[in-house]
Amino acid sequence: MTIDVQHVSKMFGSIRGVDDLSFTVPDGKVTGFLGPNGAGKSTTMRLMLGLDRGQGRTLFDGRALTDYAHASKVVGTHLDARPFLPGRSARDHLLMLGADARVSNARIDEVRATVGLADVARRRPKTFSLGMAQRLGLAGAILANPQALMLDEPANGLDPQSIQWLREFLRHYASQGHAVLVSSHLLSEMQLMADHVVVIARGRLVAEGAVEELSARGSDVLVRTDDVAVLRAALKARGARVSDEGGNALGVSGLGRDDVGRAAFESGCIVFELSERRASLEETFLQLTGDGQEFAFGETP
Amino acid sequence: MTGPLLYEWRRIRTVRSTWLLVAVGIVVPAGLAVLFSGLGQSTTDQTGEPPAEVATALAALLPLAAAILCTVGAASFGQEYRHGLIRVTLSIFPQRTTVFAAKLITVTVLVAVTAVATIAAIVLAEYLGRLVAGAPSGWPSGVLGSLGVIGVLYVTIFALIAFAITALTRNQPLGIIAPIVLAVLIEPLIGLIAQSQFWTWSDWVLPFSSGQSALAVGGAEAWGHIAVFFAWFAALGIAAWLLFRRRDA
Repeated sequence: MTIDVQHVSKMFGSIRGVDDLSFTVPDGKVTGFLGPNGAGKSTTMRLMLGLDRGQGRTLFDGRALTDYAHASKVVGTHLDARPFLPGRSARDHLLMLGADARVSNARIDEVRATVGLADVARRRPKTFSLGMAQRLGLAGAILANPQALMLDEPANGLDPQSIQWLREFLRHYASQGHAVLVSSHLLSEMQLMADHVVVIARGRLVAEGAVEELSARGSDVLVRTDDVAVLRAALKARGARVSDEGGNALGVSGLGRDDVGRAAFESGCIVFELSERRASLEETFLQLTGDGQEFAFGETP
Repeated sequence: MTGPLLYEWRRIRTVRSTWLLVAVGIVVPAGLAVLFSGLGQSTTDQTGEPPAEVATALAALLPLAAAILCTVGAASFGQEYRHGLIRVTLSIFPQRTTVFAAKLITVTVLVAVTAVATIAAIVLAEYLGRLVAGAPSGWPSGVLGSLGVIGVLYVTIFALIAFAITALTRNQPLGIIAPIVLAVLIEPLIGLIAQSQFWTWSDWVLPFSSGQSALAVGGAEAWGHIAVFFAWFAALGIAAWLLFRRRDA
């Protein structure tokens, strides 16, 4: 199943929370949904599901969610950290969520075991830690074995082992041909988990593509030479963007490592160091969303 | 529609408070009916008309049952908004009218069935109380007719007004408190003012005064009062449905 988000917008009074956003969540991949606080990630997810009212539309394999007889078999969602009644047992909660899809008791037990809640079936979730609450939310999302998953910050409150489990689980789920959309602030985690990334800031699309592709955008070449001025001029003549890194070193973007070496050779410069610097997803994210933070911090004292 | 109804039934049945409220809504009025029947022994002896005593007990105790059971109505939307479950519900059932209808039907059936049980318990308690007190003990078969139906409608509409107010305001405490305060405090005050001014319209205009009048009077007039009570619910319910369809979850 592929999810197509088409020109989705939402106004909060005079403020445009989501601005003409279009992107695709492909099947068979985990898509990371990234953006600074207040960028509109949660609002976008709610708009996609028709929970919030706005403009635009979202199609699940070409059809609106309301066109399906059993939406829980189309998309499983986990949008809030504690979306359950504190006094209703975990098992009864899942029994209720599975009513429409006629989920069997055996499937409920299987899902509880999958997320590691097999031993707390009769316990009321008011005693659950945030991590256990997230597991129950995930259990609800996958209960009807939907074609797509939409999870908002599912790794919050999970310990490292649980995060690793979540990463492997979602990658496995996607590998079965399902579409998985996950929003997260844990960029290092997302780099390991996601194949595809959608980055938004101030409600607008900033970047969309494969994680590798996006990381490559923030990568550059470091070159250390005996004559910085001559090499800078030679690189600029070839259309590169050049920054001074200090210590007779230049940062070069827009040209590959081989091209930088060739430019140095042709301009008669001695090269002491020539290396590619791969940007992490976090660095690329910060470059892409640098001025897009809705609530910026003050300077660190 | 089967899926949303099953979902609602499981939602309402897997909460302990539902059954606690249902039990309290039956037992407390019945218990008070036993007390009333004992206290009212001399009156019963003089009049010798048990059905009239039962009618008085119903008129006095059904508002109490309604006030308890309106919590079930308010909880239908209230619990979901309070705990963020409404988003989960609407993700599973994106057709909002279907969700609204399923909630309405579930609350109506549960409260109506409980109201029947409450009335039966009051009648039985009253009867047993008179038996114990040695008062005339004719079985009040009349209560099984129109008075019983009016009683069930009164309790159900009361709970549905709480349901509609909660759906409108997304605030469960307000959905419970508003009908009770209106019924117990505000409308009686307006009624007193109306009485002092010789206005006769208040029982035909104010929702809870109309509902209580339906319990107190008989015949066609009772049906007129209950129709006014229902009209108030219909207005609030339609407003709640329209808003539920349009606004963010």
